[in-house]
Amino acid sequence: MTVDDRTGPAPVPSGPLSKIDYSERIPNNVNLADDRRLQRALEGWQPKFLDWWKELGPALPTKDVYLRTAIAVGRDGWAHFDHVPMEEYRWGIFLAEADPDRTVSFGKHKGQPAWQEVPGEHRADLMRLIVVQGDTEPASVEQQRVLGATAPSIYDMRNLFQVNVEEGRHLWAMVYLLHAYFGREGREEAEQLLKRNSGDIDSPRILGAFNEETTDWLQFFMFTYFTDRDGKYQLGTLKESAFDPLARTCEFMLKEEAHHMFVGTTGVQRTVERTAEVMKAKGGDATFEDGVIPLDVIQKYLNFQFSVSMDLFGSEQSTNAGNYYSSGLKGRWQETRRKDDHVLLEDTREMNYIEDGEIKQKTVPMLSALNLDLRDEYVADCANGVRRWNQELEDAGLDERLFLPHEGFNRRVGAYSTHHVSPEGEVIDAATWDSKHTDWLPTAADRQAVADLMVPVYEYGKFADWIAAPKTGINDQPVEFDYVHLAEEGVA
Amino acid sequence: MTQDSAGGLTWTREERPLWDADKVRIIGGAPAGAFVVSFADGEELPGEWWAARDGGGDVVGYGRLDTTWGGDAEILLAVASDRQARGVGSFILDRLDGEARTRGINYLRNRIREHAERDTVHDWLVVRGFRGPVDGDLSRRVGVEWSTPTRGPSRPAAERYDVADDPAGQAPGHEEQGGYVDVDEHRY
Repeated sequence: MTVDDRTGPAPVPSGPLSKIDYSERIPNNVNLADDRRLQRALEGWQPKFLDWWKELGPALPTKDVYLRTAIAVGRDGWAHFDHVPMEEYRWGIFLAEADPDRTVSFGKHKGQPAWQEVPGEHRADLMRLIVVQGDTEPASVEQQRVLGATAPSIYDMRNLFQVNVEEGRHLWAMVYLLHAYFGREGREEAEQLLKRNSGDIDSPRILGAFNEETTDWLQFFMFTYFTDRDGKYQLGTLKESAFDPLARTCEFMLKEEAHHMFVGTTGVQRTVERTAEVMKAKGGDATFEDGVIPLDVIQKYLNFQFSVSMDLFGSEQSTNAGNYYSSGLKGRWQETRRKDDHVLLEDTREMNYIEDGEIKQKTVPMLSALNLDLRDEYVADCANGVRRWNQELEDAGLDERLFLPHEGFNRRVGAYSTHHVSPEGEVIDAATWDSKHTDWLPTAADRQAVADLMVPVYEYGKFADWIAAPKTGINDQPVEFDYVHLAEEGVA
Repeated sequence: MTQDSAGGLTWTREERPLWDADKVRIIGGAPAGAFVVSFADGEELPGEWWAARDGGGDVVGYGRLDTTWGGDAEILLAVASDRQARGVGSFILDRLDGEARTRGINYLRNRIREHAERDTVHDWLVVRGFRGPVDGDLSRRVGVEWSTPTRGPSRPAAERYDVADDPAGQAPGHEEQGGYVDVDEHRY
């Protein structure tokens, strides 16, 4: 079954332009000025956020950066580009336009008006969903804070900082919901979002992949391609939520998230393009000595980031995920375009599992397998980028190809977690895994060799040798545009 | 099937967990609201399940991880009614923590809002490192050594220090004035 078989055509975009109030200390389109108590609570959180940004945000000192800032939430002209000192970026609270006639589109409340307040019986579940989503946003900023020091170009550095400020804004989006709808507990959770830190032994970020170190720019591109894409799919399910403020928040976040996907897709593509160029010139494999990242190392990075991102979807079968759906809290990807009853009580689907050393299939209730449903959509989307990367190899006249590893490869969560599976999908024993896994996953030596290539290139329009220049710049600006003005201490 | 044993109890992973007679006895027999289970006899169960067995091979409890995301997991912990208060629950929780750690899970979560004995269960969880309101999400960091209360008679608090020399007068019976009572830690 393909994605297209299950969904109809895309809905026609709609919604008027809704201006954001920039005269307020916290820019917003939620009439914050009308709710003084909430406004004061958020203004109390703002300095803590700024302290966190200064301490754990981008480490490289900059004067200003050519950033996209949201100015409206309608389908046209929602963003404005300009040079902005990062610490003065207007992080704010923007929800997509309200639809007064919106109804719940799935689960046991299907057809009822969408909720404008949190129902008591779903309070804990909704808060948990928002906290987990919110926890990922600052986590990636923390993971990427030192990358500016090794940026392969000013163009790439600007993209990194754009991703960072928007992840910061997504944190604001979740904190707004916690403050506005969950009282004292919500405020406490908002504080915790700044206290958990990526990789912290005592208080790590909640999700596994958000505690992995971002060691270099190839990993950053893989992260934005694979791990941010998990975020896209989670936001896509929350966009369907019966809790309307959450749905509208996530709908707007998805607009910004698209740029993060773009950074990952094109970043890996340009890396592959440069490697392919060298391979073509040499008539054989490219090595680190050629100043580029060998294709087999790119494949290892791909294997790693894809597999840890697959774990983010949780176990294939989850009672909680089914309950979230039935309660109307979290839908499926493209819920309203699905061609079924949107209740799923009688539906089943096939699921892979391992028995007697073989991958087999069994039929399971659809409601219990919604994590798997979402993961399948994600995998199909991931494959698109790999095809694009392979086009670079094909265009260079090379036979080598990158590929997504099998869904069971290097998994720590779910049906495959107690087994070993090769990237090709062969079930293997522990001894084989131990002898082969360094062929499939980046070793410390691989990461060091990649890190050795990561020399900063701060001259406008110039790029590090290991990565090709992009075809076009940002917002119709030339590639050599002065996207970032470094502070003097940043240049030194 | 993987096995692990300690203190006379054995921890066994269920490769294809089913709603069977042992689960009906242990989970189905729990106080009202303790577990939300609505499975038919013989139905396959979502999530990862393990059984705790005594030396005679009888199932005395169950543990389950429901990994909604790849970072935290909701636990189910059930002990047969005639085996409670004998360390089976602590054994299961320790093993679930270990299983979570090998899966890269950072936090265990539990919810007891509907449990008929939720205050007692809340205390039990808080002593073992869980934090959170009785009517909300409780969570604890995976992989941290939480001090499990020792079994058997404990020394009276008065024997642990010289009450007469306590400058703040924080002797038993004066807890509410003493300021040394850490309710969260349950260390009085």
